[in-house]
Order: sequence, then structure tokens, then C-alpha cells
Amino acid sequence: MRVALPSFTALALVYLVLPSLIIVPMSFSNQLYLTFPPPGWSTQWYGAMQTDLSWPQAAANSFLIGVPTALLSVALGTLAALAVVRGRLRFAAAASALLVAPMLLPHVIIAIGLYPVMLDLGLLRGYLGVIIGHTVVAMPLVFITVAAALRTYSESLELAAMTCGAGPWSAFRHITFPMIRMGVVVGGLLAFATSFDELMLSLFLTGPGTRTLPRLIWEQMNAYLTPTIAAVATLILGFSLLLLAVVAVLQRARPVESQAP
Amino acid sequence: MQGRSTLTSRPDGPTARPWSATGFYGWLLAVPTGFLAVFFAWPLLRVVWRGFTDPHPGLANFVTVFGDGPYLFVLWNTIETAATVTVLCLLIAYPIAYVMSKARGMSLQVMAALVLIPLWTSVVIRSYAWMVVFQRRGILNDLLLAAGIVDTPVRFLPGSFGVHVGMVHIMLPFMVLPLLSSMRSIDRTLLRAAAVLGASPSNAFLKVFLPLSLPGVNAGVALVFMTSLGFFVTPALLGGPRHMTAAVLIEQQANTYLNWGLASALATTLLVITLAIYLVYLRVTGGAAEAALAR
Amino acid sequence: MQIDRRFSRMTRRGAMKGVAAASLALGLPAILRAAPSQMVVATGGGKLEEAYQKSVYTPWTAKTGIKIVGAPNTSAKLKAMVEQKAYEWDICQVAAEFAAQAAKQGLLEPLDYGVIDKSKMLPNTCFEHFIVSDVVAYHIAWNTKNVKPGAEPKNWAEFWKAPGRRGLWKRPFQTMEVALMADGVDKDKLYPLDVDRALKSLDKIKASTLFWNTGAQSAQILIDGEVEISATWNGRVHDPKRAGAPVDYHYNQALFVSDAWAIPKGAPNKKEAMEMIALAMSPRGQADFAKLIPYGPTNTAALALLDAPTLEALPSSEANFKKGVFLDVTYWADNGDRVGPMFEKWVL
Repeated sequence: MRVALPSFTALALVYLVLPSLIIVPMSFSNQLYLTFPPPGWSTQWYGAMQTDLSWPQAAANSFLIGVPTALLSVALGTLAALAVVRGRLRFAAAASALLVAPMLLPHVIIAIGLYPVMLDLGLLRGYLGVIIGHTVVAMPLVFITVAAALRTYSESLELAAMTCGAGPWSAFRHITFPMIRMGVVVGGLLAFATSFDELMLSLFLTGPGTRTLPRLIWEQMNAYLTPTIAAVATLILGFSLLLLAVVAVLQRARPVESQAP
Repeated sequence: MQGRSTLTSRPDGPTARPWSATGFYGWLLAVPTGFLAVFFAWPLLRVVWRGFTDPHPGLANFVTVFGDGPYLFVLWNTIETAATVTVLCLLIAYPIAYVMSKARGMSLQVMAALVLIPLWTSVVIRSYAWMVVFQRRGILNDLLLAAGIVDTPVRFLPGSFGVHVGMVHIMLPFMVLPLLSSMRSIDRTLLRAAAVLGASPSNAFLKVFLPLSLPGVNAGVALVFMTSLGFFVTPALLGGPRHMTAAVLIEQQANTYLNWGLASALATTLLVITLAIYLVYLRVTGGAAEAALAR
Repeated sequence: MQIDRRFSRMTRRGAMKGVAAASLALGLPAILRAAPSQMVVATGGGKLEEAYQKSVYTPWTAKTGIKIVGAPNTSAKLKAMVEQKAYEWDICQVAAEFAAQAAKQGLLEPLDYGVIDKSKMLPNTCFEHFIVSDVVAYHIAWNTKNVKPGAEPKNWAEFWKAPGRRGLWKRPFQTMEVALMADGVDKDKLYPLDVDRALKSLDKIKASTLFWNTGAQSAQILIDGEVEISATWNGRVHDPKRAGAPVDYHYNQALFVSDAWAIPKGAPNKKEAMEMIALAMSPRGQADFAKLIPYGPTNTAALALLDAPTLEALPSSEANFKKGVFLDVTYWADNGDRVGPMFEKWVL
């Protein structure tokens, strides 16, 4: 048991990182099609990615959609968490169930429902439609992390501030926000990551010129499997690791909130 | 951890309420719920409505779904796959979370990073990596052949094995995290007390640790099962015809056959199944949904 | 039902206007229907879109000053667009069998053959609501490392009998047709499909067949040797073969499938859309396209503008075209919702 448990865990962890370990070498292949291990090495696919303008454009789109999604999710998710945790609502459990639901429902259902609504609103020619769509599924993450942060400390601090004459906004600004800041940041990053990896809603809600990276990868994979995809994946992996490091550093700075998933 | 505050008594009585602070917080809910009403509830209602009205009003689409076609099989297959993935995730994640819950310092950081890395790698790309691993001339077959375990390459793709490996890989972090949260909140002195009272380590685990970790198990199982019902990319890429899931079928009906009515009816059925499971889950956990998931 | 929908749309519009106005007030990008200084053309994307960019869009913009924006042709969108009279696309290019289905549901604008010249078109390519724009072959291909020269299947019957593993597309269209050819049905007598016979024919090879999902997968499994032989589309194996990948193919008994140009019913800029389709279907536009991607022109006048090496690869060149047969898009539009589920059930 003493040996079995750690070795099982080690194996399972290797399993978790295995796909990433394969993609990186494949992106340096000198072949036109996918082989592993590659017979020879080259950086041509990184070059190909730069010359094919759709990749930089899709990357830019993913950020132009991911960042506003994160901000909007943070605003809405934080409001929701404050209301549910601090609001003493009689129907708090029902509200909480509704707020979490979008994250759990199959995206395909939300996508085929949201597309006609967005058409009606005329929001499909720009970024707004897909930002709203991504916010629907990303906001619950902010709600969960911020609510968790709010529940870790007593509200007596806020009440004390208000008793001393602070208005609700002032109490939030000086007391509540500093306490939940980490929950907000982690939630925002998770929201960004959700948007950055979302495929189904993007398939329906992105239009000309707003195509995201996952969507472009999906289209390319359906048509041609070239090592360019591996090169893109490697870059995305590097970026994700960077984000992960940021989260880790932030959480180490404030261990109280480290439980937030 | 956070969930515990719901158990401890809080000054919930009206006497603890100074003027309108909490009332003000309550009103904040209008903004996010309004947003979800327009961009979540309303679209879902339209999907349900279409299932009953397109192309003609009536139950025709649902008769097709529950009739003699491939649709019922696919729905059942979706549930079965989600259940298998959930069980596999639990079996793999529990030991990981257990080891992590006892780890400290650097080793905990490294393990946490390894669990989180896949969470930050594109699902599409990960499915594509598995294709490379499981090909007939892929890495796994190379290893098996070199080790002399098999004489001819094993056919992994398309098949259940590939689909399960790919899906478990995606869902594993969502099982580990709630388990870990719940295990770390277990008071270790209880285990020591059990030992002092003469319980063997395995007995202490079974009688004390395991029951205390059940909230995490509930949260993880619910999260993984519900999410697995909506899987699209992995079964589409790694699965054969027998592994078609409801999400793939819905997309195909809408996109290839232009049959929005049937797609909506299928979506409605999937919606009802998911919501039913969600309600059961809420009943079991008994508290606020977000607290249960954050645990 | 029709009245219901219109009613609900009006109230919905009213309610939603406030939201749209709010988004404008917030300084978010206003999404207004542009005057035709720009048109949106939906295609399959990727290399196809690149080829249209060079062969059609650029000359069109040079001629008219109207810019073309490419959009992905997620086909499910078409129905919602037409029903709600809110258009994301001006022109779309979709699979021809899908176009036939959409035409049947009244989602496409009739084409103006006064603007689009159909005098030199191949037979069965000009329909009331869509025009077939290219010829792609669904054909026999094999891995050259695993299949010895001379041992490759010459026709679908041999493809069915060949040893080892084979690949076929996991969809009813095209796969049912080749199953019938394998069972001895003459290529000119496929339609109406004998569904039972096709499924019985497929029964014989079910155990040794890998049903793939996407064109890219079909090429990948061939190159990797995951299968010895597979049906695939010529655009998927043309480039790898040239680059030295162990794959080869022929057009004998190929099933010809196509993409088609169409205009969503009621779309604005109809006049310009017709003109752009006319340009795309012109001999020059079609020839330039075929030079970039090995999908054959449907305008026979375009073939005269191409050199011998290019023609050799194109499914619609005189030599290749007589080896195969066109897929009957009208058959699938009329019978797809009946035959489709029969196949899906069989394949499970």
C-alpha cells in the first residue's frame, strides 16, 4: 500500500500530462502530415502559422472575446455571489441553482437556442454575440469562486463598517472587495480559460472575422491534419502554463482562497 | 471547506439585520438573473417550443425520438458513457486526491500543477493528441509491440477505449478538485483518535475518512456526470458510430439534415435528463448549488 | 403557427430593442447592415476559402469595389436566418445535397440564369435555386506500403473483397451508393437507391471497416496505415501524395459530389450576389479556382483554359469524368430524412 498508492498517483499524473508531451515534439516535425515520432526536425510549421494570416487573426479574436468575457463574467458573477451569500434571500438556493446551471448544461443546447436570439438582436456581425454567449457559461465559475471567498469570512466586518456610517459602495470598496479579491481574480481567469477553449457556442455565434482559435483548429482538423495544428497547440500550451503560473503565484500570496477550484 | 459555514449557525435572525444592507445585496441579484433570463432561460424555452412546433405543432418529433430509430440508442449510449466516465474518474481521482491531501509544500505544488495543466489545454487539441497515441502505428502500439505484449498492433480507434481515455482525461481534474477540497477539510485528529481507540489504519479509513469525504464525492460525481452528458469533441473524433453522443447527434440533425425540429426535440430530452439529475443532486447535497460545487 | 411566430417575433423584437439600444449606448460596436460596400460569403473555409479569395473575391473587388468577407458555412444557421429575415450571409456555398434540401424547404432564392451563363455547364448542375460549382470525387485510395503495386482494388467490388481493413465515411450519402456498386449495381442505375440491398452489402464488410468522420481523418488513417484501403475525397490525398506520403488513388467508379452556390431567400444585395456567382461560374473564375485546388470545374469552357497536368488531377476532366457518376442530390433531398436514419441505425 505504501508503494502502491504513490506509484498509482504518479502514473495517473503522467497520464494527465501525456497529450501535452506528445504535441510539442510533433510540432517540430519536418513532414507534411502527422507522424510520431517525427523522422526529422524543423521549425517550418511555426513559420507556416505566421504566413497563414488566419492563425494570428484567430488568436487575436480569442483574446478580444476572452478578455471582455472575463470582465463581464466577473461583474455579473460577483454581483450574483454578493446577492446570494449576503442577501439573505428566501429563494437563495433556487437562485444559486439557476446561476450554476449554464455551466452544467450541454453547450450544444445553449448554442442552438442562443443563435436565433442573437440573430433577432443583430449581434452576430461583431464580437458582442459570442462574448455574451461565453459569459453565460463562464459566469458560474466566477459566481462559485467569489461565493466561496465570501463564505470564508464573517460579514460582521461589513456590518461594522456600515454601522460606522459607510455606505454600501464604500463598505464594498474598502472591506468586502479586498477580502474576495483573489476569488474574483481566479474566477476571472477561469472565465477567460473557458472562453479561450469554448468550441460549440463559437461555432454558432462567431461570424466573419470573429472566428476563435478552437474553432479554427476544429475546422482545420476536419479538413487537413498538418503539424501546423501541433505548433498552434504548443504555443497555446505555453500560454496556458503562463496563466497557470500566474494563478499559482496569486494563490500562494493569499493561501486563504486556495481551495477555490 | 467553505460549505461548512452553512452548517455552523449564523446570525440569521432579523435582529442581526441593520438597516437595509442585506436588502441592498439582495437587489443586486436582478442584474445577473436578468442577464440569464434573456440569454439563457429564453433561448432554452425557444428550443423546447420548437421541439413541439417545427415543422408542425404536435408531438411528432418526440414520437420520432422515442420511436424505432437510432435516437433512443444514442441517448442511452450518452448516459452510459457519462456513467462509465464518472466511475472511472472517481476510481482514479480518489487516490490522487488522497495523496495530495496529505502532501505539503513543493510536492503539493507540483501535483496541483500536473492536475491543472490539462484543464488549461484545449479539449480539441487533447483529443487530437490521443489520436496520435492510439493509432495502429501509434506510440502505445509501438510500446506494446516492443515489450512483446502483443504480436500485431491493437486496434484502439475508433472505440470505447479511446473515447473513455479521452473523456476521463478531460474530466479528471473536475473530480480531483472537489475531492481534494473536501479531504483537506477533514480534521486529522479524528483519524488519530480512531487509531488511539484501536482502529486499524484501514478501519479508520473506512469508518472515519471515507464518510467524511463523501460531500466531495457527491460534488465531483455530479459535476462530472452532468458535464459528460454534453460531450461533443472527444466522441466525435475518437469514437466510432457506436459512440455517437446526443450532442453530436443534435449538431448533426441541425447542420446536416436541416432538421431543427428533431434537433430541438432531442435537445429538450437531453435538457430534461440533465435537469432531473441536477435536481437530484441539489436534493442530495441539500445546500446552495455553488457552495456544494466549491467544496 | 406562421401567425404565432410572427406575433411572438414582434413582441420579442420590442422587448429586445431596449437591450440592443443599451448595448449601443455602452459604446459597443454597432452592427448595422452595411450598404453593399461589403458582402459576406459563407464557404467551407480553409484551403477552399483561400482558393476563392484568389480566384473570385479579388477579381470581384477589383471589378466592383465591393469587398468580400468570408464566413464559415455552419449550415444550420441558414434556416434561422431565413425564418427571422435577419441575414448573416449574402451568398453561401454548401454541399450540393444540402442545397437541394434547403431549396425544398424554401430557404433559397431562385437564381437568375439571365445573369449566370449556363450554356456550357455540365448536365445536372444548374438547378432553380442553386448551381453546382465543383466536382469532387469520392473514390478508392490505398496505402502504397501495405498494398503491393497491382494489388490495389480496381473497383468497389474488389474494394469489398480486399483483405485487411478498409475505411468508409460514417454518413449515408455516398457510402450507400458505393455499397450498391460493390454489390454489382451499374453506376448509371443507382437511383432510386435500393436501401435494403445497400445495407446488406455493407453487412458483409462491417466487421473489417473503420467508419471515419472527417476528410482529414480518412487521409490520416490511410497515410498511417491504420487501414489498407479507404474511400476518400481527392482533395484530401492529392497534396500528401505529391509530398511523398505512401498513398495513391484512382477515379474508377468514383462518385462525384459537389458544392453549390446559393443565395439565402430574401437576402439583401440579391443583384450583386447573382453577379458574383456569375463571376465565380465564369470559365476564367472556374479555371483559376481549379488550378489552386483539385476540384474540377462544372463549366466545360473552363477545362479548355487548363493544361494537361492540371486536368489529369481533376475529377471533371474529360478523361476522368466518364469513369464515375454524379450523386443525385434531388434523391437525397427527397429521401434523406427517411433513408438517413435507416443507415444511422444500421451503423450503430
